[in-house]
Amino acid sequence: MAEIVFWAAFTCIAYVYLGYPLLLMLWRRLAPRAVHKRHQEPTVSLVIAMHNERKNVQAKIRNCFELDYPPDKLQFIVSLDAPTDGTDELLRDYAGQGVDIVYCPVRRGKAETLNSGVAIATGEIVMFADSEQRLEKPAVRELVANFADESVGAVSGALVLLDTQANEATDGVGLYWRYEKKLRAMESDIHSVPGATGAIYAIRRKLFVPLSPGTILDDVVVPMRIVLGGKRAIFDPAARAYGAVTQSPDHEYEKKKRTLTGNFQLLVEMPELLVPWRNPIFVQLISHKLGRLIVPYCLVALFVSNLFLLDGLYRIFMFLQILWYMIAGVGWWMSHCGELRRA
Amino acid sequence: MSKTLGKILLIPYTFVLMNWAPVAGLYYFVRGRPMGIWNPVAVKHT
Repeated sequence: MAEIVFWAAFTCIAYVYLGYPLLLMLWRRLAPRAVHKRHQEPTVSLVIAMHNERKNVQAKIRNCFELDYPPDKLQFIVSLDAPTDGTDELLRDYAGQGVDIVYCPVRRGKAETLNSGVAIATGEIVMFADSEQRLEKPAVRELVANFADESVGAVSGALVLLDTQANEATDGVGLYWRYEKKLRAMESDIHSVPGATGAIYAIRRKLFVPLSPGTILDDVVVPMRIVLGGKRAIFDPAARAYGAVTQSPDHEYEKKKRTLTGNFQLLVEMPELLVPWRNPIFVQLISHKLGRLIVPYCLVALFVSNLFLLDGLYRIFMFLQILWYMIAGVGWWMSHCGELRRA
Repeated sequence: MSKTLGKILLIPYTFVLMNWAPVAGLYYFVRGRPMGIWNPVAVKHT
């Protein structure tokens, strides 16, 4: 019994982190689906939802003005969700400079704030961005070029996490994010990604369906609806946004916790995603999103079952697991020591 | 050298933490506590 549990857990973990990327590599080689990208200039509405963003708002607007795209074809919309830190006052100066502001005095959450922003959008393409990250100058141009391909309904850009030296982060969190981006690129090459990057993505406006109040992951719900509707949601690493890497894995953990709560919400609110003949990227969703939800329990099962199997090969597995968790303990200690020192 | 070693040592910790997140996510979802300041339901709890 312990052996069955051990190997089932091992297979699940190995598939999610190694088997699935290998499957994607093979799939991409056997059945690639190219995107016919062509530079064009359709009208674009850039929607940014904000709550209390006093420290970011001015830099974000300046960043938007610097984008390499014809100003007469680019509409800026800032949708405010009852800010209390004076974000709205700082924005007032920009109201006459081509920024459309939607103000709601009552807190409604991000999903409804985005709905309000899109409601006044006039562009053929709607682009979404966050207030913290900086968009690269050609980001809009790169994103919209993908819409020349009629099969594409949504395009996600890449978020590049920078360290304190302004280089792409390569520590624990940075490495994890780079692995994620590689997966997304491969998923995109065969059909679609099961989710976009909230900091930079765009869709055809006609495909937008207002989000339900309380939606946690707008950047997953919006592209997944488009995929269920028969279009592709692709990933284009040439469209980039830059953000600072979180100071420690614990900060990333908080974000991840929110994302994974959103994944459970997604499966409850869109059960059709779990129907293979309704969801064209069923395998990707199960392997990428659902697999991640199951792996923690497999890790526990792997360790516990290994306690009952301590002969031969299993002894090596036990040793490796203990070593792994001991190094993780050292990592925890280092991470917290760093925070104490900073404090 | 020590910086590289530090980065390597952080990998297992990040892996464990990222894998603990789904458990916490399920807990918050079952308790009906959507995460994040963006959600008004969460604001009522904080």
